[in-house]
Amino acid sequence: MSHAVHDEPGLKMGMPLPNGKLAMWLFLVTEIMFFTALIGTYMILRNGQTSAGNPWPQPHDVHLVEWIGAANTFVLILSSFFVVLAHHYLHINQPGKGAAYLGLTLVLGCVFLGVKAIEYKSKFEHGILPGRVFEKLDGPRGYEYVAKVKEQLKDIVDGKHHVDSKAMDAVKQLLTEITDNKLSPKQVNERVVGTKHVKPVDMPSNPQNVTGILELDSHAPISYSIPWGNLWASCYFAMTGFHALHVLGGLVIFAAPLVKHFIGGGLKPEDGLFVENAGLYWHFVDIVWIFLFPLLYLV
Amino acid sequence: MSVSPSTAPAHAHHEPGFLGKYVFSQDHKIIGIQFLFTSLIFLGIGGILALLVRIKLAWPMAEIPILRDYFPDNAGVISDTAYNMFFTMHATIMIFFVIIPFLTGAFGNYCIPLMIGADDMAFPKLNMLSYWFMWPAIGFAVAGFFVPGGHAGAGWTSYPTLASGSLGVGQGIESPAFPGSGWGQFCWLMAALLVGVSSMMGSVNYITTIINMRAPGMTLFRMPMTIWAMFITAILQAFALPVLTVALVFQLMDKTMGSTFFLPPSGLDFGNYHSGPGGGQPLLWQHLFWFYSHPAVYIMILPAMGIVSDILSTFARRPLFGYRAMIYSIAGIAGLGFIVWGHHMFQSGMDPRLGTGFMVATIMIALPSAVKTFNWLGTLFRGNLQFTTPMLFSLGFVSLFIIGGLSGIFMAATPVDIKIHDTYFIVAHIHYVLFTSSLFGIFAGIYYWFPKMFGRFMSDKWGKVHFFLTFVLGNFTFFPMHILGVAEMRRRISTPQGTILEGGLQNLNIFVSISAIALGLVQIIFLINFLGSIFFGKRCTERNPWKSNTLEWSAPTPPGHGNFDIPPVVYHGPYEYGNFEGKADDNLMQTEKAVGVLPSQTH
Amino acid sequence: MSDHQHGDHAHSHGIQAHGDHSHSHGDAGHSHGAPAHDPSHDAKFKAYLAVFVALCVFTAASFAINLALGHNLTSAALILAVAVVKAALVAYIFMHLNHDWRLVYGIMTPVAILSVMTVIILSIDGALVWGENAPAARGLNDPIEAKVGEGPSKGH
Repeated sequence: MSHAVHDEPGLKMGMPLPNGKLAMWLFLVTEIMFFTALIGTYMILRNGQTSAGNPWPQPHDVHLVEWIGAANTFVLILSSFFVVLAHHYLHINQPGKGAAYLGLTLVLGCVFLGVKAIEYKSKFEHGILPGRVFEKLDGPRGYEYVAKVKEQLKDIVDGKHHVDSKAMDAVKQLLTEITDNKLSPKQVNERVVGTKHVKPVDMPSNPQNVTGILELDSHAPISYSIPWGNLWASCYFAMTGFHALHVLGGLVIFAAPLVKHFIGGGLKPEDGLFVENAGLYWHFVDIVWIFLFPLLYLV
Repeated sequence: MSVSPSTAPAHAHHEPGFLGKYVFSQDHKIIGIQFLFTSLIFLGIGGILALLVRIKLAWPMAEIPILRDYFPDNAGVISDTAYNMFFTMHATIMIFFVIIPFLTGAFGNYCIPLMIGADDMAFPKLNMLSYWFMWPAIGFAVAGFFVPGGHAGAGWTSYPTLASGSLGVGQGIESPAFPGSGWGQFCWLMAALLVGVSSMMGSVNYITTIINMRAPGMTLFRMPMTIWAMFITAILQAFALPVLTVALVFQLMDKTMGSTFFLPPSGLDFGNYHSGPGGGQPLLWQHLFWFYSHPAVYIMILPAMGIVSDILSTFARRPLFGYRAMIYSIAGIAGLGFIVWGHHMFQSGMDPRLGTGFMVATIMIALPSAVKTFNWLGTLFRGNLQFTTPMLFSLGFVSLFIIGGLSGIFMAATPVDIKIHDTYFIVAHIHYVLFTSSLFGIFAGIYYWFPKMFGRFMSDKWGKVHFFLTFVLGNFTFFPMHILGVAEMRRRISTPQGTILEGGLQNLNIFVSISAIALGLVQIIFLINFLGSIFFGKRCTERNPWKSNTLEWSAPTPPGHGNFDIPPVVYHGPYEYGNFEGKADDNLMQTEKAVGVLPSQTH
Repeated sequence: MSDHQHGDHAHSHGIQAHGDHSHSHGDAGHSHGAPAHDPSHDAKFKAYLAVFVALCVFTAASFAINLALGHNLTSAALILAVAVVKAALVAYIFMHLNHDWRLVYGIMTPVAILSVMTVIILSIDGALVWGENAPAARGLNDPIEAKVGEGPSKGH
């Protein structure tokens, strides 16, 4: 290295990274901290509040189906794979294939959101929403619970909702007993879910080993107590909701190069940088789901 | 010529109209000046709120004629609810709408591209967006005063369950505890959320710009301290703000959707009101909130430290003492800043074992802070001091930051903190750090860069009057608060209590209020000087009026679109002041090649 | 003139001159339009496919662990370990960290440390302590908790 070389400052300072890609990584840094706080909060609330006698709800308590979550994981992984291929084909100057894989990614993103919508629908149908889940039946909430169940039973008896004929007798009997004010809130819950399935905190003082209405017909539209259900719903909707918003954002981002390809005269290898940045974002969204799936559905 | 064509000054662009040039501008200088004016307006609003707080504290039952129109049912007496609203919004506005936008918004935008030799930010549109995200935030912050129940009143920290409580699903978002927790709190949450989004966009932009847009030769260790401070501040924002965003979203969900993140397992009981069952942890908010808000304290002081370092070196005509040590100490403060948030929670019921760790980490911050202070003194030592207005404010910064820093060490120790945490001692501490330090840094920066921004000087005579009165009255206002605090005058309570009344300290309390009002009036001198100088100040025709070294002074005054007519090339660090062979001036700009040994190498 | 240059030497080694961008994966494509059947591209494709298959296998594995072991600490640890491996695969191959890590480690290392540390510190206060002594230590008298709480539960 001669002195003359040293004397003239170089042309380009900074990192051999385009501004856009550097900014995308910085944006991902803020996103990592965002989801750290979101997921960290969930882990803390879940492990901090529960005890062996009063555990966190199991997936089937809250109508969460493991295989649907696994299928959605597969959808996102596949879409991530397609994004990589899209970038790969743009990179080697095959824009047609690149656009096709982008289109497939867009479709898979929509599939993911569709499945998510079905899952949300089942939560709404069963009233598993923040602040609306019944728990702590020995407080004032217990009497609200009894009133709610009474209303639901009446609807069934009046034929507004259908239940299996096996369960009809139990429904009618429970309605009579509630109308006669014979049962405490915890006993009502016992009759709904069956003594075997009553959570320890909701066990009445003299359990009677009854078969619950939900054991006879698991689809009967009757509320039951879910200890920690409100907190579970809060965490579930916060985490999956923000993840779904990010998926939605990703779909908008992927729509841009597709519009350019089909309307604006075709993708060029230069668009590889945009697709790569969009891909970085999409893979990050994928990674978030890779953690959300086991934390919500499996662990 | 070692300059790439893209940085050449030939800009064949058409002149944008008034809206494009001054309102929806993508030019970093205009955006910086927009932030400057926005923050100045809010400095006025926040100041008026502070004076209302002080009036209530000194004369709790006084009927104030001018307030009669606003508090008709109280005959002009400020009610306790209004007092809660005033102190909450004073802090919120000063932190989120004054200090942070001033330092990172105004100075960050104006100085970063100019001082690193770039023609603009890396993403001008994102930059514009970050300014315009301030306006919905401002809308919410102002609208809160006019919603039913008044503005948020749970303090700027908005602790649950006081702030987050609500009437239950479908019944309304007000907490049964007090009126400001309804729509006012909602507005507060939205304002903080949007300010955070604005800051995050800004920080990504600043980091990218500083990493990738530097002029040829501007290595990392040739950057001025202002840029280093802005760089590390932007990193702090990028790391810490998302956590606050999550906390704000949780509280918003608790308020509007019935979620139970901050509602304790047994729920809440206020008189006849019983909430539904909870399950969350109120303390979690404090953790998440202070995870952001402690680094935010450094976001509010580090840029001021950078500005002051540059100004001290310029007007002491000496190289900055320990340039690298200054950078490492800023980085050290920032790094430690992430593991000390718990010192705000010593009294909260947090695990005491955790508190010990936080205490040790907090006391360690005194080390890098002391390094900075001694380096400032080392810079001044045997310097050829020029007492211009920016220099005076910088000297004020250094001296009063020491007082604020020392009172901070008291509170770092858990046992002492438990006694003085909720008293005026902590109010004195935060104001020594934020008013007499951050705001002094801001004033210094305004006086210093005003000629570059507007092509005219601010009046030096009135600047000095402004400094001396602010310095004296600032101390009169905030120093007695230490004494009041140790005498158990509690913060956030609208009437003087405890030993204040018994011990005859109420006179001191009244003295504080009178000083505060005088301090507020003194700022009118600054306002007139600032606004008047834009139109009638002495013209500044030269590029480098202060004979400084950094790149912004090599640009035309004021810089045009694209900043530099001669693309800058950097040959050495920014602090080369001293005697140079064959050179009349005692400064060596970063764009000038060195003759002989550089002053920074001989010291 | 030679004096001139001397002043600079001490600093000039600090200059980080990077004339070209071609290290960067993102815009390498337009500088040389590579032929489609370059063997290195086939290798890349194979790597992507292998990662995709591995991700599917790992997802199935975590599902199987859940079915086989049920809900307990062991299965939780295993499933989360599998998740970490999956995330690492996506980051390393799909997000091209195998090429770009040397460029972004400066921001990714601090954020990784910070995020893990934050959760750990919060857990100390929020999960461990609260779980054990919650009602008494926090002054929250929760009759249900007091009655049925049979001790701390960690790691469901």
